[in-house]
Amino acid sequence: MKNNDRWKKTIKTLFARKVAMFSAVVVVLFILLAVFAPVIAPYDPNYADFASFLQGPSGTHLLGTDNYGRDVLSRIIYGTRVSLIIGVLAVMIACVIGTFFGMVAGYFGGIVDDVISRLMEAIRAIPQIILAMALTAVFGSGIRNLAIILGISSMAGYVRMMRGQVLTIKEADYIMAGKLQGNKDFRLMFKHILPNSISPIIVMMTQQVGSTILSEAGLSFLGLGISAPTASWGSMVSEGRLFLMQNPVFALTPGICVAVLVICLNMFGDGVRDALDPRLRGEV
Amino acid sequence: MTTYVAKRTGQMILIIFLISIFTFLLVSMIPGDPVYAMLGSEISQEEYDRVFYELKLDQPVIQRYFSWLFGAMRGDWGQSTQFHMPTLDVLMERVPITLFFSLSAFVISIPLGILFGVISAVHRGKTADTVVTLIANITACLPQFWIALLVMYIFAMKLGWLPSYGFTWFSQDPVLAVKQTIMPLFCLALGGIATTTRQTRSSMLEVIRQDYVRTARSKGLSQKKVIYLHALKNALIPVITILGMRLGSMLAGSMFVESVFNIPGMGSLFVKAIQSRDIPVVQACVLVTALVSCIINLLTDILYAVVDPRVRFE
Repeated sequence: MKNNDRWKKTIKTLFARKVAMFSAVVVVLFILLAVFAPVIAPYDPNYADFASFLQGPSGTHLLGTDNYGRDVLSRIIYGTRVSLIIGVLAVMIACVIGTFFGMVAGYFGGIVDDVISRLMEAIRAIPQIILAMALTAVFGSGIRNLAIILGISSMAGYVRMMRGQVLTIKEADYIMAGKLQGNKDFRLMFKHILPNSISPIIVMMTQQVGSTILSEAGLSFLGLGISAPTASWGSMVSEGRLFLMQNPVFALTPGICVAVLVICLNMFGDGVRDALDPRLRGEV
Repeated sequence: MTTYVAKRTGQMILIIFLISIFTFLLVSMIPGDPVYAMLGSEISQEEYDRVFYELKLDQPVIQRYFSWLFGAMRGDWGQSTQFHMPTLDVLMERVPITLFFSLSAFVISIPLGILFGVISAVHRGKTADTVVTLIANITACLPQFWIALLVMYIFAMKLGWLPSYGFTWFSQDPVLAVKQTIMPLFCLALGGIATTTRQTRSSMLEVIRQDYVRTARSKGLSQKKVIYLHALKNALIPVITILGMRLGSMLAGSMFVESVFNIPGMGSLFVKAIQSRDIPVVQACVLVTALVSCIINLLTDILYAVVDPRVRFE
């Protein structure tokens, strides 16, 4: 089957799945919210109106106001940016570093493989969020640093997956042929092995965005991620928990946003996985 | 079997050794002067020098690492800068609480998860399956701190049935202890139930299709016997492999639950230590967590080899 055909089929199957399409629509809505936040948000997210703090939902403030009198809805809309940017960036960082090391470990084998594999096992032994928390002590917080931290702490999965991929592809005749032609190792890796393992990489990336966003929200909730005054969903829940009695909407809605976005990202990821797998597509 | 266990134990020790290097290096990587980072910049020169030598900063990194490692093995984990007492003493107060919550949530969530997973797989495509799968998928995506907050809002603030924060050991005040434990434990167990349910369901569906299950059915065994005596045994093998990860995520989840319910466990200690740059405590928390997950991983690997002899001859 031609490469082009394969992608067409994948996209076609993806479009045919109602659940995947529905979640894709929701994700796109969140992306639009993030991009057009200044247009959509009814108020400036950092404008503090001390005259009307901790109000419940009303006509002027749809989700009420926080303890500084800032509009909760506007802050949630701006918070979408933080979640999406960090989620996507961190996954890209994890993917690039993890795929590279996995490929090197699988291709060269021997001592290189041993060193990389043992290191990754050590990283996997520490729960991801705890590793990320320890790294915030080194890198500090902020959007860029959080993306790096979450990327580093979740790269071990890519290494493992890519290593396994390379081990099976390495045995194929065309790699042997490429070697006999005198191709350099890195050329073989990037030109021939990498393109042939692109679908598991895509599947893993789509499935990781959701969990990365969850981790970011968790770090911000604990006060180790995005800090005031930048609006992020996790830190909003953290601020709002002190005022649960006065305006429960303030603390609870950002959490619902995290959940809805993550659920939709995961369902979309499942759809992508099914669409890329010929067995699940019902062809074999 | 003995060789297998020995090999695994050796690998675990190597991994713990690597983690100890990592946690130690973490401190050297912290930007700025470590003495100022610990004590703030408003200290006298004498004080600076004293701490500088106390931390052995005049020695090369490798030497410092080994003196730290040997100290840690003897139980000298350094002095906590925020509590002004030995790190080990601080940990001794906190770690049992976190282990209590993580282990109880673990023990509760595994059988429940397996039960729901089996129900859902056996009734594949029916209402029970749809409901279980839907709830499990949604719960797995909910932020744990949010569930904790919601439960606290409903049961402590609105209904007033349970106290909203604190921790008491059962031996001190049984009634209060149970009341204070219900909500945190529920929140912690929920995520575990959801993940175990999903894992059990998918591996059960794999097994049910196999020939030996059909043979068991065709020789006239009842549905219950086929499912619980024949299919479940094999379906549980992949579930065992994720048990280690489950306990790791319980330890991590405990961080959020402790933060919401104000429980003085290792999780809240870790957060505070990071915020106040209390390096010895940060190191100790990472090491203890890694140690616990490594031991659990080793135990599950051994268990795995016991139930599935093929693994031993890998």
